Amino acid sequence: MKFAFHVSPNLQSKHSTQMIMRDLTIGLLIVFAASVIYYFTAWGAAYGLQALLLLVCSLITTFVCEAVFAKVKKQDIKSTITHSFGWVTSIILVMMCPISIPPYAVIVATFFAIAIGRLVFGGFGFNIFNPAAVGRAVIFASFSGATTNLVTSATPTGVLASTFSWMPGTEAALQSYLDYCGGWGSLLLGTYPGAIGETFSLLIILVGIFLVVRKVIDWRIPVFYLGTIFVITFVIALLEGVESYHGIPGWLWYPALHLLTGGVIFGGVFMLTDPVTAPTVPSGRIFFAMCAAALTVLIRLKGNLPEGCLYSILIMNTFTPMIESALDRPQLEQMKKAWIMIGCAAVLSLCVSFYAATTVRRVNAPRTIEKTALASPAVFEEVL
Amino acid sequence: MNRMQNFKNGLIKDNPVFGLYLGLCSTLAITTSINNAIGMGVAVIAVLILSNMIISAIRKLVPDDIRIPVYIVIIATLVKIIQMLIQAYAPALNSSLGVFIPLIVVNCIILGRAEAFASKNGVLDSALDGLGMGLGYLLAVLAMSLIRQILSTGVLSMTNPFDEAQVLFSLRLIPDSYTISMFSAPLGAFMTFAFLAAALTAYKNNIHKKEEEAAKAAKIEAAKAAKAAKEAA
Repeated sequence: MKFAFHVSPNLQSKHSTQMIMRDLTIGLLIVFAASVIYYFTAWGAAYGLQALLLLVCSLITTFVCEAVFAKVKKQDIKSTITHSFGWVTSIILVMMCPISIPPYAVIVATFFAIAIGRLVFGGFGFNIFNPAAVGRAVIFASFSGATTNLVTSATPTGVLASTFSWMPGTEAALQSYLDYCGGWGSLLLGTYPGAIGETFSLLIILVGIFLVVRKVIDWRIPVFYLGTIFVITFVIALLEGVESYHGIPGWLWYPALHLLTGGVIFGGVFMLTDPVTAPTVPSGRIFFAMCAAALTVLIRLKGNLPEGCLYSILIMNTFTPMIESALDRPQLEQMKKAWIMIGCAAVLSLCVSFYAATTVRRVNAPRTIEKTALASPAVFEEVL
Repeated sequence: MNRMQNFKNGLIKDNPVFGLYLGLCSTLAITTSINNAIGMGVAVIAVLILSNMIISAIRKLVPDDIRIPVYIVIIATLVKIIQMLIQAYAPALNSSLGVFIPLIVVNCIILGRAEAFASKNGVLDSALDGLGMGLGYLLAVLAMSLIRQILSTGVLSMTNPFDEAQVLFSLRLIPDSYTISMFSAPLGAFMTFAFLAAALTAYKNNIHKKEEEAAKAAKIEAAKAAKAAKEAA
């Protein structure tokens, strides 16, 4: 009989970090390419080239930052760059920005995302916050007024937030909103101005399913994130008595509107699932996603910001170490604790929906929105 | 020599802001422009020197049990005097510093130095310590305000604190559309502070390492010399 001795761990997954990141990059680039094609065909070559220019600027900044950092730390530059996967951050960051943003803003944001969001903490695997979200928050804090001459009309997310305060309550109000952005099909296919990568909901869902099948991302986070948003908005629609739209009952279209507008699908699939900043315990991930969903809806309906996805991700990232240490228990004890935590998150979500439903007024009158609002910059309206 | 050392400690090694992390509240709040920083720094230097001297002079009269209230009364009196002077002669500075001038009373640097130094040392030493610490504070707020002002407005400028219409110098370093407005917000203050403190700590660690290495080398040299002397004998 022959014994084989290996150095532990003996049970290895086939997945290496390299493979996971390669799949993720491919998935992101598919969505990005679709968006670039949309801008080329619908808005003209200047817009498509601008999207590519932003990506190139971001990538170059990332590589320069990492090379300089490796040089200072006296590490091998090439292996540092290939092992820190900075390009994933820059692609996600560019996909969260609207097309009208100047390249300078993207360069500064990438610097903050890579150098301060990640390298200062110790590089890939050590960052507390999602680096791309840090970069987007920098753009929001510093360049909210900056635009190039490539402006699009006001984004549907911004319109929904500013004109309807996320609550078009009647059929006529919803109709006027859908007329503006081009109907449900348009919301699904992303043929409206918005952040570069987060509008094409259908493709993002397909890529997300592909990544889940390839075991690149954990299915629990997007499913529970989007599911909790659905349930919260479902309760809100019932409490508010949102009217039905051409036979579709209010409790169905209102959650769908919340999911399809803005960046929740993109954030749920690509950003909350970041293996570095999300908890590693599966039950902890469920809790994490549910709380992020409650925060997203709360910021959308009650906050000053048009969108809540970005800040909900950043806020929940701070709680990740706490969730990890709370669930660092023996198996049975951990299960019990996880059930209690998830129950608390569910109650919290219900409280959020009651609170939002009782304090937000629904907008009943249809509004006419200028389709060619070319003068209004879209940067500050679109926070992931 | 020892006095010089006391004075120099406050500047770099025990810099009150980046080394001892004292008085951060006002530091983070007022470092939006060079004018504010210099005004605040000078006010702190004046209060620090005077309070250190007075407390050092009366240190043998004050019973130990009630020393803190006594110190606070002295510091508060001095701060009130400084505040009235600023209100009278530099109203623009007064309005831009606002509540942070009266808050010098509770600035940890001043009470900290009174407790840690002035209550144990002579008048001249305490005055020198106050000057060193005050200059350290001034340097720290000046460094932070330089970075924050240049990054957030793109202009390096200063006006005469006694007459705000008179601009001493104004230099645009970054074009208007390339400024990062985040640095004028508290967020930028925390970030600037963290990076400067990290840089100072790295510098101090470097010096410490070099000193240790030099001490080690000297020890080896001494051992070698002793061995050689033994062999020669």
